[in-house]
Amino acid sequence: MNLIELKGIQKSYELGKTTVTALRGVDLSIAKGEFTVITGPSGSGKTTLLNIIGCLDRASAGRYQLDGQDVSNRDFDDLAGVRNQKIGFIFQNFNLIPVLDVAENIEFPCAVRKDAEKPEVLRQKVERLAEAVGLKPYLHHKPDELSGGQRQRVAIARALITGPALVLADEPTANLDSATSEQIIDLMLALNREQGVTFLFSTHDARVVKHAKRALEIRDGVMVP
Amino acid sequence: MSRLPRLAVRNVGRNRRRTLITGAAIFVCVTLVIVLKGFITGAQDLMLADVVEGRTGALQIHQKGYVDNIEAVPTRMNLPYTPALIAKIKAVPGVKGVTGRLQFNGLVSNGRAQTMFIGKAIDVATEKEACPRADAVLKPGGQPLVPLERAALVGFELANSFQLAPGGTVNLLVSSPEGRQNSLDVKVKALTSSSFPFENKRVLTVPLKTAQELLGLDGRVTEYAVAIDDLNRIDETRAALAAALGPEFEVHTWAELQTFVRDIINRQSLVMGMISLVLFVIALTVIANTMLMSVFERVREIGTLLAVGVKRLQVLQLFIIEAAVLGLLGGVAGVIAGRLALLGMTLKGIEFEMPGTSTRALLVPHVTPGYIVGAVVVATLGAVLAASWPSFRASRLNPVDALRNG
Repeated sequence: MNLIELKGIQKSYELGKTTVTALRGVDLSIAKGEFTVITGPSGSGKTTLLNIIGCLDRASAGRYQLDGQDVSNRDFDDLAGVRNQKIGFIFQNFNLIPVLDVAENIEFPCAVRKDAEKPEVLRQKVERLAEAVGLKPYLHHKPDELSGGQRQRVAIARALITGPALVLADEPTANLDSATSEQIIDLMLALNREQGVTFLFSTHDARVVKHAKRALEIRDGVMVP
Repeated sequence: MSRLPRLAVRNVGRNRRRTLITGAAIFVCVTLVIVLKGFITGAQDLMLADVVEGRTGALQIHQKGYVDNIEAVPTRMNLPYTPALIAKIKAVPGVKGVTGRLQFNGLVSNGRAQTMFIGKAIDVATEKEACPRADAVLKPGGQPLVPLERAALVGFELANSFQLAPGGTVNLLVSSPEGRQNSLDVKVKALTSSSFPFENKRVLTVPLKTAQELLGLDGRVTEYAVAIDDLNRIDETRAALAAALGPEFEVHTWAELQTFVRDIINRQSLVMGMISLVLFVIALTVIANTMLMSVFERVREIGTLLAVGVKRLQVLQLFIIEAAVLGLLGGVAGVIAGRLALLGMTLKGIEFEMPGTSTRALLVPHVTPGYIVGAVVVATLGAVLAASWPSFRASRLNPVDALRNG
């Protein structure tokens, strides 16, 4: 069974008086453990597709199954649990919470659950992940005390803390220099290889694409065969 | 349990300058309300003590129908002033003390001119049982009344207009309840000064026995003034008294008898309420503005929260808790500052001269613990109310747009 199964996904939205069609019937299957890159020019629909896969946005038409569950027509709040437990997000701008330190940022998706684990159990998970992403010495630093690469490592650890089936990364290296981008890609590849985490990310960066096990291209809202 | 509340508390300290300005607005408003309330309560207590402990007593008992005719000073509507009736009144739970009085009116003459007066006859021996602060303020050179002498205390303005001085004599001319004219010469013992200007111009106080003799009402009074243990239970005590005395008597509270004092107190409370409301609205506006700015600044962060699985209701709660913490901190600081500001004045009191008289009074500003708790609760709930719309906006953000923001 595939982790992601998209059939005929369409997405249109109103922009003033005009209807803009961002996706025009996307079919896509991604198996568990894949490391997939979606490329395409600006405005091709990459981010819209990722938002739908991440349950942040709803398709105008089509069917979406995530890990065997049909999530096409479910309410946004109803999908909060799916986003929290099955999906990890890595953003281009890192999107860390400035008042929390590294450890608190990493544990945040678990800590907001009503049935959050005990702090000591959670802290052990955070330390293991911080070690895996090379951030153990920085656990009590605030985001503004870290470099761009370190912040993205925090974001990666935060995406992985819930043990998600899928990690979505929207242009994760766009705000990083080349050397740091390489390190971040290597880190994600290692996590994919060693922990079997499924990665799907969008990028413009050709250096990133060459590391991908599977590269897809989207153009004008349709997947290029 | 979710650890979002901890994040909310941290967020309060995020933009320190703005938090300080908002907290300061709440702080200043709450402080002002506490200080103002302290002064108004002190002034009202003074007024209440002056009326209840110095004039009317907490309750008064009359013959049925007396108060409806009170402007006519109906001496024919009198009551027996007997040890048995006094004992019956004193036996009612909550009653602390009782005295009898005769209210009457007539003409006062110095032999050359005459004018109308309002007469107040008191039982000198028991007056203080019902009104512990009933001491008339005597002008220098005067002497207090003693029970059985034919004497009077005269309001100083009335005395001045009749060139009366202590030691002089005046003639009192009254109609008895049957309409018979009686007159009596009484010695002026002292000139009195009152915080009620009317009393300085018109009132003459005599011993009860003198008035009974003058009116032919031996052993009778027109009212009983009653002191009670607890003013907060005045209605309860009034009901018990009414039940004990039966239908031929009527029992009234000080507020029913001194309606203008009650109205002044009510008006002061209304003004206090309006000032508090204005301050409340100012604080609310500042809080709403702060929370709205906070939402605008954190749009992308809200998108991130929604992306990692925080529910919309939790986002709403996050901002509401932030506002509540702000309101609570500002409110607590405000009541502490207000209480401290009042403390010095509460310990010493503020001495001042009652308007229109030479009477000195001690104003002791104070607020009740209930009011202090109420101020903190209102500050906190007000902050929550002010933050409700910005918080709702935050919780309804489209995550895709929010993440794209900035």
